Amino acid sequence: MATRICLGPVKETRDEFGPLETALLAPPMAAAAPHPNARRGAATTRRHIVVGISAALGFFSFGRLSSAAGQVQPAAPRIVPPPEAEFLALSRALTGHHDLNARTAGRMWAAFGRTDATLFADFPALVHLRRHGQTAPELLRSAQTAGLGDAALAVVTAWYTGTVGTGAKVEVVAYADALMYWPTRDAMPPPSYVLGGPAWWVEPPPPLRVSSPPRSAVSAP
Amino acid sequence: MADSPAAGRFRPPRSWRRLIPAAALCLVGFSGSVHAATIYPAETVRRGHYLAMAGDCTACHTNPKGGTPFAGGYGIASPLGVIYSTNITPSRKAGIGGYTEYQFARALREGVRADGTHLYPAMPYTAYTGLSDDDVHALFAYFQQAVAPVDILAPKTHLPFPFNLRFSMVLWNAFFLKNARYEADPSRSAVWNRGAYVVTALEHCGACHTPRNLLMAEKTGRAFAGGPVEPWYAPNITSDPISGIGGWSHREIVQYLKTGAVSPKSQAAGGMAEAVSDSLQYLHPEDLDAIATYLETIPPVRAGTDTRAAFDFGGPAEFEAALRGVDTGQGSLASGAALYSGNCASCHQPAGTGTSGQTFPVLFHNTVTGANRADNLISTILYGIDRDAGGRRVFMPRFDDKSYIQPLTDKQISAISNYVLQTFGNPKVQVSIADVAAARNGR
Amino acid sequence: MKAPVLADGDVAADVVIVGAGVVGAMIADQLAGEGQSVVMLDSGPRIDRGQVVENWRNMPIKSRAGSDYQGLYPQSPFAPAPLYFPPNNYIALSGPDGQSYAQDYIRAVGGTTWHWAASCWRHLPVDFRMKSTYGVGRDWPISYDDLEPYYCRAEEEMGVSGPHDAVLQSPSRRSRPYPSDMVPWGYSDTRFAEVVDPFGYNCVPIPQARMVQPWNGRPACCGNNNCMPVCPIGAMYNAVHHIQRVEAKGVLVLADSVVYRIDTDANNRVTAIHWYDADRRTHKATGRAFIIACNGIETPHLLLMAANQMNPAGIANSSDQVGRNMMDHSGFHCTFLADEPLWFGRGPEQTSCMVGFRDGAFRSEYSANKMILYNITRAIPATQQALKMGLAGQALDDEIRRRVAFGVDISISLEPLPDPNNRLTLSKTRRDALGLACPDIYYELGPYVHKGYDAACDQLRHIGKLFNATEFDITTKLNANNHLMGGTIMGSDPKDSVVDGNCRAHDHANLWLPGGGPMPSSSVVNSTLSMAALALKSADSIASILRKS
Repeated sequence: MATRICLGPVKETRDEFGPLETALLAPPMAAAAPHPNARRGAATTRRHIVVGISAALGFFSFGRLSSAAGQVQPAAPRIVPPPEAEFLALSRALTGHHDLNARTAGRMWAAFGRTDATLFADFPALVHLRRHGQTAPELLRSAQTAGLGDAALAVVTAWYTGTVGTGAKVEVVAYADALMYWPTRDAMPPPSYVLGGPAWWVEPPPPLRVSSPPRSAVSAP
Repeated sequence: MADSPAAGRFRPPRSWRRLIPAAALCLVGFSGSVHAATIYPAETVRRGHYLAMAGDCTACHTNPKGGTPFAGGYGIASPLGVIYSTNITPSRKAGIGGYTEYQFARALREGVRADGTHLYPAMPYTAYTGLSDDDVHALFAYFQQAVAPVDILAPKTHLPFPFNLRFSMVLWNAFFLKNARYEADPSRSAVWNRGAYVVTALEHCGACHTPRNLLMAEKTGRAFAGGPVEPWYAPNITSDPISGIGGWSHREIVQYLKTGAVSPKSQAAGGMAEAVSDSLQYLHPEDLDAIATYLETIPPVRAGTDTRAAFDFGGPAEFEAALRGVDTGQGSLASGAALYSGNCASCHQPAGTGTSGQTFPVLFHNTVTGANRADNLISTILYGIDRDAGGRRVFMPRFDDKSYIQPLTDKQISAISNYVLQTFGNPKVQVSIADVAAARNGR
Repeated sequence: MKAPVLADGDVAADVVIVGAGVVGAMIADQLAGEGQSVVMLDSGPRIDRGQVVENWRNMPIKSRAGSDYQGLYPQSPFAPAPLYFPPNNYIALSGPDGQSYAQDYIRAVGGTTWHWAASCWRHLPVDFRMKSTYGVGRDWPISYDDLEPYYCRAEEEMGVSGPHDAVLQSPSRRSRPYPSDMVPWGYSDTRFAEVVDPFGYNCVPIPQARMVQPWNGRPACCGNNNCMPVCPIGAMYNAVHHIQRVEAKGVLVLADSVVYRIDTDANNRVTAIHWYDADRRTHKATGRAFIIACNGIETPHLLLMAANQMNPAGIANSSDQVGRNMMDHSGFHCTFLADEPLWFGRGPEQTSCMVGFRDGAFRSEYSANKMILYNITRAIPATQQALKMGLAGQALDDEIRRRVAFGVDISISLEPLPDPNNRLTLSKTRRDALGLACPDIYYELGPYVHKGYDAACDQLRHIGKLFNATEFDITTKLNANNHLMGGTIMGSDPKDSVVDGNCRAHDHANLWLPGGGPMPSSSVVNSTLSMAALALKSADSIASILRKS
């Protein structure tokens, strides 16, 4: 039985949590992506927090942010979401994971700003490439066609490895919650955590649930 | 610890875990007793064995540091000084081999030895006084026939003046010993009466769970309302749904007694882990059922400040998203959250959810973190847990200075405790550095 | 039990031990247990386990992918150990195989058992007689049977789990059972063995210093899969367990104490050692018996640095062998995707190993090998490979799962022979923050090892065929395995060896140099258990000498 410890959804009492936390605790791999319009409502509710984070981080590079601040209105189509919320939406689209943590997204977005200004500058354009109903591979291909492939892959890599940046400046924003450990969470823990009690590994591994590697190989022995 | 010194309790007895197989060996090897006395029927001896286990005689009368069964010599720290348990093997020289059944009954039920001296109420004769004559007879048969005699005298107890004056116990007994056998309450079921008997006359749960007065007698008006077993605390097990176990189902109570854990809810540590490992897990299912039936009717006692049941607090933490990669480098483990992550999360998980199967339990909806006092949380961290029940060995290492994992300072344990309480448990409870220091010196 | 005397920061004790790792700590435990007063000095700091665990989790992916097992550990500025991310060039490596000697070790209280895999192998009886059996290398001056009782004691000291079934033991000649039966195999080990054993590869459980039940206050192993670089729950043996014990016995353990000078008298007995504390103040420790157990690099390093008037070539170095015969299990890796899911990565990091070629007549011509089935989760390489394929979404997740489930990584160890040219010397140009000369190491592996590599590759290709492997790869550069041996080699002739069969220096009657340095043959198996056995053997010898005098 999978222990869903990292991306966290334990369906516990919700009275302790506000709307942000409730949204974060939504079950992973939700059946359908939220409608982009519906997302604006959620983004509005989270806006105070996101604005607060951005203010603390001192990022006002998108200009739109200052006009958005203070305008707390439900479902106003003209309001442009702040960049961290857009980054979260972009990340969901690029990874196909709909339960990404908004706090991590905010930290990751800011970390890109600090570690790779060139890539960071590509994000608004990447956001514009999103289309309703697109799969992650489709968005990635579209990014590559538009010359934004590096930025797109950097976002995917950051979510999977938990590390932002590849040069001299790197920042870590995730370890146990990094997406790289998610696909095998039912078989083994992220290293340094336990999956069960002593000798849990003598139980048979879980069903495979994916196809085998292709037989036509690059180098057989 | 905040309680007044006199309200302190005798130290929890450490039981010798290998009792049962050793006792079984005794049964096999010594049923042809060395004494020229009565040979008791095997069935009586077996019953006596069960009763001895239910009364957990071994908890005090077997020295946990490699002592022979029932040979005594275990120094029990009491607020008055060290009290040594006596040799109750059938040795004529050093034990009770020369006792008649009448003398055995008087010791057990009135606290008077064969030579007339009084026992200190570290021996819970105020509970065993409820034992029936039949049960005393079976116990006598077991101890005379199935226990190997040990001819080594246990050390004598020497308490400081005036507590060395044993005849003062006469006065104490006058006030606090109700020298009477358990009488069934006809308005209650047979199961309830059995439960009352097992709880009050055998398992003597009140010895830990009932608060004591200044003279260290159980406060009968607040039966089972909780009491310190320094540095631990035996919680309120009255039927109050907020302060006690009124919110537990019958099945949960039985499961807890049998295995030491109900998940999510609670897990036994300290003296209760011993009680489960050495006694409760072996009780017949009917007796466990009876205990639960009785406990469910204990008059509720509410602690004034309690508003929620201890198992009703907290939720999963969100450490990773907020803090992973934020404070890094040597010496960065300062906050309770970071200390929790480095020292506790490997087993209890970053979100505090524990493992599937709950070998490592969830930390929220947990009566230890949700309790209205932090004794058991602090003590669990300091001393760990080692519990062997239902064929499952449950082990949490200690983090005091004897830790082979990582000795933690008072400051670190207080930071971790406060993080756990705020995040997973009762946020009104706070742990100071002094609290940890006191618990560390409590054992 | 007497405690060492402290005056003006100086210390006097019966026994002075330099190096608070597994060797020093076990000796301290034995001797303190006999009532000797003991002081231990370690050049590095004390370690906080929780801090180190968090440091690991906070490391960028590149470091973890590169197996940076050093960076998470604090180092004293005065006691550097090799770092690679980025490199600190503490040790200058040269020679055609210099890079194969890029070692990891920890200079701190507890030593390198902080980040080992806890594999506890014994040498084979024949490994003690390489010269007389195979005509290569050296013989030990002691036999397997001489060391066997100490192997047993070392296993009991560290709490080793090993197979009770003799068929699975390597070697099977033992006088006492393992303290606990083998750590049970998971599916991957069992299935792999099923496939390869009919062909003589002989998969055996790796005896390891951890258990699946609580033992002596240590929790059971719960498969955190993090042994290297640190066991987060302390289930794996680590020398701090003995440090803990000895401090309770009154042993004085001084951290951040860098020894740099060794005094000898007219009889060439050691009279004192001198060290720098964290404030660069110098102090002195006097004693009756001196043990230097700093690991296979730092012990010869110190001995050479401490050359004095009477011992101009270095302490204990009249043979000119100190720092020579440097050995390690130079090794390499073979990775592939099997044709069935094996699910490596569940449980401790090393659980089974193929020992079919750890011995044989071929050893007169080329190196033996052992092949560890690496049980470290494949998640990092799987993710890196899958990302390189430009995948995203479900396809990326599936590819990671696929590569983790089907991926195999075999770590092969070869057996270098003791070659006096493979040598640690003192740098003439590089000095550390205390002004002490840094080590230089020259390393060259000859045809014995390279032919062994070739033979192992044939075996690996065959194994790959058994699994219809794809993406089959064998690394061509030999990597270090951190098993430091040979630098203070054991022998019966003082002219070509540094220590005798009790690890006592030929040159100094009251100096012992136990550990990996004395080992005259590397075999192919991890050296720690042999080091611990030698430590206990030395301790017995030291104890009896101290009792007599």
